[in-house]
Amino acid sequence: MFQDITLGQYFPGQSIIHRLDPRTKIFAVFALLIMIFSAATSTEYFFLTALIFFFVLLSKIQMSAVVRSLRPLKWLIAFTFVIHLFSHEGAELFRLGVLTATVDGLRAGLLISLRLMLMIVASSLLTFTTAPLKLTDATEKLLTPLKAVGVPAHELAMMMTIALRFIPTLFEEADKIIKAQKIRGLDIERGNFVKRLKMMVPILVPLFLSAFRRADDLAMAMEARCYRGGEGRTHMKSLEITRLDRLAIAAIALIAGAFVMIRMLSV
Amino acid sequence: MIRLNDVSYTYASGTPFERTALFNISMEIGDGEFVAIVGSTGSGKSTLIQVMAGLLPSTGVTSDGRIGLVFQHPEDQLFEESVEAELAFAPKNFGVDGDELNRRIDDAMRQVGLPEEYKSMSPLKLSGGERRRVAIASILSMAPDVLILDEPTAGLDAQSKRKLLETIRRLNEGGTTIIMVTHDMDDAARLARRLIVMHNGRVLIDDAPRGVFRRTELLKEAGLAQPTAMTILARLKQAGVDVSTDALTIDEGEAIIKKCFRI
Repeated sequence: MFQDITLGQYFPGQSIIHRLDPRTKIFAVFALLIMIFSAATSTEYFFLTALIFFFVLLSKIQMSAVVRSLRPLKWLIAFTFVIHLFSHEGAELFRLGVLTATVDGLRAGLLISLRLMLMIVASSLLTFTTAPLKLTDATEKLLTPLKAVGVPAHELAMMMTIALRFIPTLFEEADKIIKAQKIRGLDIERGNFVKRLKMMVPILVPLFLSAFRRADDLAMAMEARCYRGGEGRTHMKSLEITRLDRLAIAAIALIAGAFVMIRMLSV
Repeated sequence: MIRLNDVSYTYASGTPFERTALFNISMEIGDGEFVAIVGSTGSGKSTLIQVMAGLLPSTGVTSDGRIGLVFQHPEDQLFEESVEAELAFAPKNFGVDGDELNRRIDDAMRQVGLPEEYKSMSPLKLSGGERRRVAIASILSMAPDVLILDEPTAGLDAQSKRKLLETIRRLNEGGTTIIMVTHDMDDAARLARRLIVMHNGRVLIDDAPRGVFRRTELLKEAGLAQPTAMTILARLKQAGVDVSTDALTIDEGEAIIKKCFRI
């Protein structure tokens, strides 16, 4: 039942996108998000779709994985589309009771759905091509300047690292517990909502218990190795901005700059 | 009875993480058998038992009778407030209630040697060995015809281990089919009447323990050792003593050595 979840799943590889410094990629995703948010015309959307499609090709990530990353949010996308379809003024397309679908609504719905999908694909591309640990390293590095105003950069990054590290473990654990309770006759796929909620107890209780036990063990193990926060701590693999990164940053900054400029001029 | 007809199983099929754990397995496990499944880590043992129990969707598996599966460290699956409620969970799910339910609970507690007064206690307050027994009893209370156990003695102290193996042996004598995954060759040799050696997702040997442990070369290929008694006798033989190495248990080994040295 957990096979659908690909958000935050890293696919190891050697593509250009994989080789970029995670900070470059975070910057690029932000630039893409700004562009996606400022896009309004179909031409702009077409350009962004082509750009992101090009990045997907560069990353050599399988299309099926990219499509799968959209799956958890399919209802949100569908919901947004339907809301837009019925909530715009203009030429009537068809009627459903008191609701009127309009041509403008259809267009807006399609574009907003596309916007959502582009956002998901762009951010999935970051997590698909970047090892989680590198991502947290980058977060720490990017947050370090904020230490001056009291942001605990290292601690936040460490919490993220630990959470990421234990997500697969907890999934495995949940899978095992579900199987064990299935053997004992638990039927989680049938019954009404309340019944299914009640069925979660035999799964969630052991899962939480084991999570707490793990947290306890981990804290002990960190203590035993004299962990005491980020002060004076170095990394085994330091992040490094290479020529490729500088090139990528320049390219994406230029594209984003030009894009926003054209947008503003055309208003 | 469990019958596997050309069963294969692939994890994460269709993704870059695809990994085939079982290749074309065919076997039949009859009623009342005591089968031990051995093999090194990653040989497909856990997948095999999950396929047998119907937990992993695969074609070619047929079984009759109720199958109980005890996972490794089954005490991690306890969730009820009392031992009694924990033991009632499975039979209730299968529609058992009233006197029959109480009888099942009492039987299961007796089988694993849990005293009556534990019924009202919280499983979480018990010791590790006791929690293990509660977890196994929580499967026994569903009265399985086939009991599959994945390393049931892992992490137990010597005494708890001996008691648990004795419980399993008695269940088998009572007619329950036992399929047990184990890393302990001595346990496998002593208890099982049939041994299945898994290696890289395939059945390497499927024979009575004596037949399996005679095949030194194949065992080495599977990354497995021989039972202690056999290892000791083999060392003696290597050192030039003229002994038979055909001993499965410590007792058999002792008899052979005594005979050889006339003591």
